[in-house]
Amino acid sequence: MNGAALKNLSRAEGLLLLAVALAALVFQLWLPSTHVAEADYQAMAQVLAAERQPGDVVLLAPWWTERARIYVPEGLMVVGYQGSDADPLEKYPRIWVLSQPHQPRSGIGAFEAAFNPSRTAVGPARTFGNLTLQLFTNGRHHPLAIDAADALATAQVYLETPDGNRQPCQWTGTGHRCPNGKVVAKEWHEVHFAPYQCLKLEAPGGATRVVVDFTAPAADFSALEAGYIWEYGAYKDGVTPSSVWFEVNGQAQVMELPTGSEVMHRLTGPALPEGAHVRLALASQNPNARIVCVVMTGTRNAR
Amino acid sequence: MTDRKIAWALFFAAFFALLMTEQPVGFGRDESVYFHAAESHARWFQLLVTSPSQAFKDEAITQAFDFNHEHPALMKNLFGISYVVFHEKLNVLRPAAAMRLPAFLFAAWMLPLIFGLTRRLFGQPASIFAALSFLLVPRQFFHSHLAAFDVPIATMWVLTIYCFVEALEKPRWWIYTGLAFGLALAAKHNAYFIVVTLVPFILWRGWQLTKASPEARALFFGINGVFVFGAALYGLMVAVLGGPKLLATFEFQSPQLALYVVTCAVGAWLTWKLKAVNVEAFRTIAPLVSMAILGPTVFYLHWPYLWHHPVDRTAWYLSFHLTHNHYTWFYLGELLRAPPFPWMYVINKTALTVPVSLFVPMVLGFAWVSWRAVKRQLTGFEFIVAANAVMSIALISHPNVPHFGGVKHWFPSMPFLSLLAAGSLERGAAGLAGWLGPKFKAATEPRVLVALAVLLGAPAFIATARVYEFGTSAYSEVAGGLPGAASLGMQRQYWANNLSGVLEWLNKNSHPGERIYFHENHGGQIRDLQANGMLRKDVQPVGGPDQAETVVYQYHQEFRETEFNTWQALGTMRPVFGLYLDETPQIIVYRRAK
Repeated sequence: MNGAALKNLSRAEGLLLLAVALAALVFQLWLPSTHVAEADYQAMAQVLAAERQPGDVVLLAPWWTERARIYVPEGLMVVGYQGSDADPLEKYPRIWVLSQPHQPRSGIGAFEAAFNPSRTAVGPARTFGNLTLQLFTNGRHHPLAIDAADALATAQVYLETPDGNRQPCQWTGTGHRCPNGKVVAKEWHEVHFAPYQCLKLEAPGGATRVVVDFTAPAADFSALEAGYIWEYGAYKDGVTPSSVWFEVNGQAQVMELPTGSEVMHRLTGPALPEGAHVRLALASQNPNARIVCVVMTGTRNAR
Repeated sequence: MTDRKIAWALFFAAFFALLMTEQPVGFGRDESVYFHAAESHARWFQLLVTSPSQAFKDEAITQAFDFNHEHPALMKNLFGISYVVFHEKLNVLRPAAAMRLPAFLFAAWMLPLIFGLTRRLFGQPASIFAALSFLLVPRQFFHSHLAAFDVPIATMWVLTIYCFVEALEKPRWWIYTGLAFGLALAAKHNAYFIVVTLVPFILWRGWQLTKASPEARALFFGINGVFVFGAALYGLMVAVLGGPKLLATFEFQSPQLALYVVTCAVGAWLTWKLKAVNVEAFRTIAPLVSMAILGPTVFYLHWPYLWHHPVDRTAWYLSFHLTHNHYTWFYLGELLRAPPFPWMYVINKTALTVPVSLFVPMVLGFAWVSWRAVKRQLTGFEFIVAANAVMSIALISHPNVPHFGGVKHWFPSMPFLSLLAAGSLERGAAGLAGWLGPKFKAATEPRVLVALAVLLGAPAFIATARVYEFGTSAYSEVAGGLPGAASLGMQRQYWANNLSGVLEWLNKNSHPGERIYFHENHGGQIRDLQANGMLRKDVQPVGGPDQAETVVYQYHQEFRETEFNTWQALGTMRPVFGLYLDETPQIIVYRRAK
């Protein structure tokens, strides 16, 4: 390389360094301006308190902006987890999207691409400093007819051997304690980063199943989702796959939860006639780490 | 100003900067373990003074050094002695600061070492920039505060290379190289890989220097042959006896130890003979022989735990690190739980955590030496710098090597990348000055260089000043800072030291005797926070959300289950307080619903 070329290269290197330094400096000076003032959170909370309706939900964008949980009025569900942009939120007729579009890599475009279909904005967006609040109607809404977790108090829960022998589990006021010491309860758990308030079932081991047996009201749709909680799905050694049964009026579907799978698995069930007899069950040869979060819902068409 | 004065100025500036900024830095999970171990070591040193015959007994040594024997003792010895002197005896520092003082010294020592190495290639201003840039990386500044080993091993690594480079030109430095390598071994196990960066250069240079002299060439072959033969015999012993039997019979009077002694003795004798034949070749090879002899010697002597059981305890120590657990780690939206890990993890993580105004000159500097290598213009020194810049990064990049710990495991690469960045700064400043000079008289090359250095350092300084005490959470401009990293799906934090960000609130708002579940904090951390006056002593740590009135949750994707268990146990999904850095949740405080 000759002297002139080296000179040009050095100049280019210098200009590149200068540009990078200035860009980085601008970024560092700008970053604090993306913060949300306490007063802005309070103002947002006042609007929510005044305009909320039963069954509303707050969805965060970006999903990790969970500081808002401190300020959102008590009793109003806040949803924000990795992947929540695409959550159908079908239980909720109205969604308040609380966004911070000025955050670096806020990904608001990607959020809108996942969120907007079937949602309709209601009124103008409100801004509170760096917070934006926009109400939407949820076109993916299906009114809930039944959530199995809510039916637990009136359900029968038992351990069932392959020959049909049943050992009942006792209702304790918060859950059903089974003869093997495990408790079937409605609890908050994580499956692949997302929170679910679900039926927690623990496989008894061998061919024995833990069964939740209840009567459901009529519903146009039914579905069952199930997944291993926390890190148990990632286990590959010392564990066995699990089987989850979804039985409506004697018609059973079985879904396998393989080892090494951390996600929620879904099974679509039939429409439920009034007074449908529903049985949900779980079994796994080796009970180690086979704690499963089961969400079974019956929903109706939105009017 | 002379280089020596600048080196001292850098050292003192770094030392006092660390000392003055120490207090807000919380205690990491491992640091509290080291505090405990260090105190135990200190008690042994006190016993050594008061009752030497008792102290040398195996029982006394085991009692003092058994805890945390997965790491060698050098730093813990220093932490412990410093604690006794500066806290217990003189009472001039709080316990944690007294423990950390040796860590500040080691971190501060890094700057003159970088400066000295950089001066071999570049001018004073660029060398100062290289040295300071080590502490301008937020994560490095954070780790420099800790009574831990990651920065000390990086310093000892650079010291060894520094001594080696000096040894090529000056007498006696081959001894210092061996001693420095011994200190590196005594700091942390990464030290073994220093040899890998030097051997190719030593063999190549030794070969070149002995070309003209058959006698020197014969000695060169002889020295290498002795060590290769020794290694082959060890291999044979393993093949014949098997590893466990070889270790079980490795005693003071055993063929195994005799082989090591004979190999080193013959190697040293041949090396000494080489001195008379070819001094330059001697200066090239002697440091390596010195490392082979003095390294294990210093390692053995510094660690009383090895004195009565040198082989089995060293074997356990090595085996522990060869079979280390893999901790779950969040990376680009996925939880990495077990190997194989992504090849690009280390490079990506470096790009996402080192301030871009320092990272770009590092990349350009490395590109420069790579280009010189292609053109066959690379000097021996540049080769050594490049090899050391790459070594730790390449090692951790291997898909089967544990990937947790953010960037700290490849800190030894960073000083050499800083050195290369200085070259980029100097070339860039020269280019800009050549362009601007004719237009603006004031734009002389030295002025442009200083201005450019200040501009490059300023964003890194701002980032460091803003988040250094929560250093494991820091992300660069390339990531988009902490918010950008959260969107990218990067590990939010580790080591649980960010708890310090909510202590003031807890101290103010907890009722007397409040039962608090400190998620991810072990009892040692809570003990140390209370001992250092950072957490009220009346609060009661409990083992889980079910028993707690208050839960202090550390935001990790791999622990979301704990947060949802907290909702369940406390009957609320609404936090009452938290540490939110640039809006990203780090520590979240929940209280039981009334």
